[in-house]
Amino acid sequence: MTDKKMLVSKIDNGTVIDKIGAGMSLTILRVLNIREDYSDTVAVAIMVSSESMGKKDIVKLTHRDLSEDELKAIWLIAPDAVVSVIDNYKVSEKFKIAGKITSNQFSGVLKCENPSCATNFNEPVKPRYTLMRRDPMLVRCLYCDRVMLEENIKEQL
Amino acid sequence: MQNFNHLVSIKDIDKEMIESILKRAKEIENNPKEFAHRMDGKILSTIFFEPSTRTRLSFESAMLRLGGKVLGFSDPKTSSVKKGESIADTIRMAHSYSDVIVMRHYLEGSGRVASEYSKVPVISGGTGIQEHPTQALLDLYTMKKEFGDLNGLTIGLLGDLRYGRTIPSLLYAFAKYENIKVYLYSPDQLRARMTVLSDIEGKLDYSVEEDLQQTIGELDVLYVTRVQKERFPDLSTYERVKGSFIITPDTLSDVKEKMIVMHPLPRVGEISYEVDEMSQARYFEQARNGVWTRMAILDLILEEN
Repeated sequence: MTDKKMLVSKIDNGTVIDKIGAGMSLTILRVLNIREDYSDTVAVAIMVSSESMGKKDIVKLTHRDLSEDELKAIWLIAPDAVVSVIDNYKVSEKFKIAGKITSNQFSGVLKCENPSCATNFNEPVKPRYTLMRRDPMLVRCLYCDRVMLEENIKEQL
Repeated sequence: MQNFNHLVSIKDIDKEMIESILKRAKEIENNPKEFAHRMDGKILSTIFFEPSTRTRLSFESAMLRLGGKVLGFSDPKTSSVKKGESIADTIRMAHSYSDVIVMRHYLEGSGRVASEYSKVPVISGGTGIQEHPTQALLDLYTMKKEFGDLNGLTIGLLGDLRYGRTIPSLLYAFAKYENIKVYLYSPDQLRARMTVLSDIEGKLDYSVEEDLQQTIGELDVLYVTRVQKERFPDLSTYERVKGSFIITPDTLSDVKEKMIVMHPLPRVGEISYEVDEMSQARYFEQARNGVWTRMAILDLILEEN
């Protein structure tokens, strides 16, 4: 993409998440806890034309690095996502999230669908899951052992 | 051998640890006096968010027989849990007051939460419909006492295999042995959960059976669980199936000579009283074995911590 075509200007420092499935960027913002009161600049491009994907979303986050848990959460929502780490207007690192995932455990993002799972009550724990299969997605709650199917997971995303 | 920090699932321990527990239980049963002061000065908290008779009393008996003391509650209505206190906070209170905690809770995942917040070992006394590891261990102890070895046994599990919390624990334990064969008999609505079956797939030789009478002659152990009325969508379905899951002397007319019938108790009609007098009945002895097994669990877990 050339500067001429850019909807949003380059960022000085932060993270660009590219190749997000069309329409999924708002879910990613939610997972990253970016709300109305967020203090840094965030640019979101929805339904951008893409050669490989037809349409895609892009999210640019200024002054924000992503933790491993956050990368995993994004990967669940956008399996093809590519992340660029921007340092002083230059790309210092670029990678496919899928290539960075080393463990199949993740936390956050989902709520356990078992109504009698302890994580759905007033406990100071963050739900944790094992990803048993990526496609179609199958995850298992590490607390109550409930297995969740892709169709039910998607309802939450 | 794995660390023995907590016991909230049978999956937390390996076969070697199971065997150590069974061996220690036997040593204790053979010579309880030798173990009468093992827990001198130690305190067990029994925290029961759900009613229990056998599990709580046998753990308390186990601790007292080891020379320790017990405290706890068995009715959450009388504790601050009623005010909405979390498991995590209740556990942080209990670990300040005791050296080991036994907890029963109606929520799945509660054991894992408790173990994450406790500085002392947490032993599950049952978590929702998820697991009941110490019941499974005392069941294994009963089978081992009877047959000498668990390998080679053919075991039938009958009744509510879906909501009975001991069933997953038993299946996970059986799967650690080389050649245990399991037959699963239940009404369609109460078949073992897919998650549990997928966990043991390829690790345990099991088959889902329609008719107990067709395979009862192969069994070394028939393990009966309660089929509860409230698990059925309507009363007529319950009335239709319940007869197939009641054990009478007739049911046992053509079984192996040394076959035994077990039940975690309490039973509500699923084994007729006439069976109590038969040579196969082993459920009261099974309940007695609970004390030896729980003494062994307490002894080993505190030995390691």
